Amino acid sequence: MRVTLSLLWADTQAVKQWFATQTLSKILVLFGFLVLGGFISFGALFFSNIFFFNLSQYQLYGELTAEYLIHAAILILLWLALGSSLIAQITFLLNPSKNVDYLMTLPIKPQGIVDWYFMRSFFINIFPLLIVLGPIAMSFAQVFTGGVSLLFLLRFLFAVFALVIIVNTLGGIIAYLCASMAKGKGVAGAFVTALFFLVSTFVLLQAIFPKEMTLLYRASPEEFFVLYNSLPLSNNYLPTYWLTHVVVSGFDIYAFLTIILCSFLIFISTAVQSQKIIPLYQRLKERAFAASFPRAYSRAGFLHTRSPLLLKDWLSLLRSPSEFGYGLFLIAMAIFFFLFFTRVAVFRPPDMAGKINSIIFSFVWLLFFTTAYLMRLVFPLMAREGKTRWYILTLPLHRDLLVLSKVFLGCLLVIPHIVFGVLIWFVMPYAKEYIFPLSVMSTFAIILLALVQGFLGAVYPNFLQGDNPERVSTSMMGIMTLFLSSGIIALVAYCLHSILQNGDSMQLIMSFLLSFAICVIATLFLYTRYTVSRYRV
Amino acid sequence: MPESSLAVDIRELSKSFGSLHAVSQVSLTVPTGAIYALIGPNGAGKSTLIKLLVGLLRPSRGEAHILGFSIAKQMEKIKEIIGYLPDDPTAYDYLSGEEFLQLTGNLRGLPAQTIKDRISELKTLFPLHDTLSQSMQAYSRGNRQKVAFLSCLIARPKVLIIDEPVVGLDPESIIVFGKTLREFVKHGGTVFLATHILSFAEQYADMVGIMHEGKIVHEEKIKTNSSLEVLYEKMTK
Repeated sequence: MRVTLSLLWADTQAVKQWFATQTLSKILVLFGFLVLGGFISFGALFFSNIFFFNLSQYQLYGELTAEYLIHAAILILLWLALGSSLIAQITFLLNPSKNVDYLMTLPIKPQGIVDWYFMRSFFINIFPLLIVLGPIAMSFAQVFTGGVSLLFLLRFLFAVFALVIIVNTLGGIIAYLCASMAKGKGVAGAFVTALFFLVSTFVLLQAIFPKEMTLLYRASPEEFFVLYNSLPLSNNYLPTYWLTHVVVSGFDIYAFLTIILCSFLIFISTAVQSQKIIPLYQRLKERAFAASFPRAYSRAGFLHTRSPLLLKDWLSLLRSPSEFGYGLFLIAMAIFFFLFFTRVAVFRPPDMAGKINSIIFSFVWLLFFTTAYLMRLVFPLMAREGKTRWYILTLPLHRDLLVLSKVFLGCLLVIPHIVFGVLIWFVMPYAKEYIFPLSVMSTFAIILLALVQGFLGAVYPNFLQGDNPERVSTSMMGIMTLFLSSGIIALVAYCLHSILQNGDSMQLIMSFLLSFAICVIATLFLYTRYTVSRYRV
Repeated sequence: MPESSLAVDIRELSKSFGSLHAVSQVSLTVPTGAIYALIGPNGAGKSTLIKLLVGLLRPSRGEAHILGFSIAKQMEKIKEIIGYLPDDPTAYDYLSGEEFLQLTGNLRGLPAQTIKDRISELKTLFPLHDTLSQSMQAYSRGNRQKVAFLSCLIARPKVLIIDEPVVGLDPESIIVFGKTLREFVKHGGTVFLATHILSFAEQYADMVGIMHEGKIVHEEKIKTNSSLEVLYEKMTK
């Protein structure tokens, strides 16, 4: 316990230290995230209220459908949180920080480190789950139980705590069993992970939206119960069923089963991790150590290329499995979302305005994924020069060239998104008749976002944190870039809405957007030139 | 397990990474109360040998004992009696030097008052002045080295294992460092270090081992009139 508390104390010091410099900008960053969290919560509450209110008019059938939706939400969150926990734990094992290296040389029990990591993950994971699941559950309570009682809150918190425990323990066990296999697999490992993600997404969607579900709308009352009870999520052996039951019905045998399951998982997870952490660390360290010996890469062709800067930056991403894997992960997430959306949309065909709104919604999500991808891969490109700027900035190269090579690489990196952004409209519901405007607008927006992020990444690059793209993209400049990108997405989405809803001239709107883009890029280019000339080595 | 009169006892220790033999059948002993300096060119296997001794890597073959404790079976015991200073002592950048020392004391299970007293004692070792209250992120390599060295000493270890002890230190601190090591062995401690700085080894070590291509190619006691430079050149050619 002493070890765990000491390490948690060190974490609180890290937070304090983070706020010690550039406090105002960091408070703004935090505020930005709080606003985003509030926005997500409010959106979830708003839509859940409307949806559950409509369902409540169908009495018992409506309530059962609402319960089903809560179960589906819990299952999806469990799956996403499990994926996130797994990635975090594997990263912790494969890329141990210097702090972990240091801990390994001290006479402390492995369980202390395991407990510390568990507690830390618990605090980190609980907030996103509360933000997303909270409003849905509260809305259910308001509509179906006449208000949010203290007991309901306790049941909800119980379910969320259990969910986090299940996610962290299972994530830990799987990570400790798989980390050794994942080490050194690099790009192939990232592909296998993405494939697994897609297959499991498909299975999950089949479980949540089986074919029988479409029959529910037309079923007689007797058939309804038979069909409902035959749905995969009505299986009371599922732990997510237990959690749903606790939230919607009360503390009973399922709460007891949940406690037993969580205790069992904590016990197994602690035992596996405590036993494996040191040998696993040693084994992984050895592989990392061996990998640090000189090895031959396939010929990069620096001697023959006319764009050595571009090639260098491309290799910096390609030879960094974490960046490559993150890019694939985001693309897989985007595919998951669109698959999910295509399945949901077939059940209740909306009216014309609803169809256009759903297209715009999908369009915005596509650009959101592109922004997240760019923030991680393109925006930090200049900051990544942190440790090598003594070299690159003292070469007889014009600094404009340095910026332009990164901007150009950004444009190359979004090619998969552009292709995806065209193909997706062929499978999305209601979008087939608008394929041309949607493809043009998505291609335009993706390229504009890539250019903007490439330039803004070079304005005030965070050289000191260059090794950590996450920190770079959550710096003050990162948040400003996020806001500007959001503004561009909103503008393009508004223009698209005008074309689809009001039938406004596409040529006219594209002319306006192109003029806007030229002004933005020209301004950014000039400003970037100014700031780049003031970089210090 | 009774404590051995040999502080470090390495027998036929090897470490291979695939076809690369980083450490090859190394055998050496260091008696209690001595400073043993391992010298050798880059890539000779010094750091690998040290990492094997502190449990960061597992040996491929062979065995080693520190004060009678086996590195294969009793690593937890070994961690209690050693202080390890790596070649790049970076950890917990967001803590101040003093907080880092407190954390180390806590993790090593020292009572709060002992930690406080030890920090007060250790503070006087190097002229760190206000540096200890500043974030380690802003430390020079030398200051980082000094604080990490103090953290090694906080729990009064019996054996110090040090990789490149004086890289980045100013001349004054090198002298303090060397004298502290001498003082440490005078009180019964043992030091096992790897270094590139021949003059440091010559001045402060009792014994020296020359490592080349994973093997110990020569060992000898330091004599006041010996020239390590000539010997080193001869053995590593």
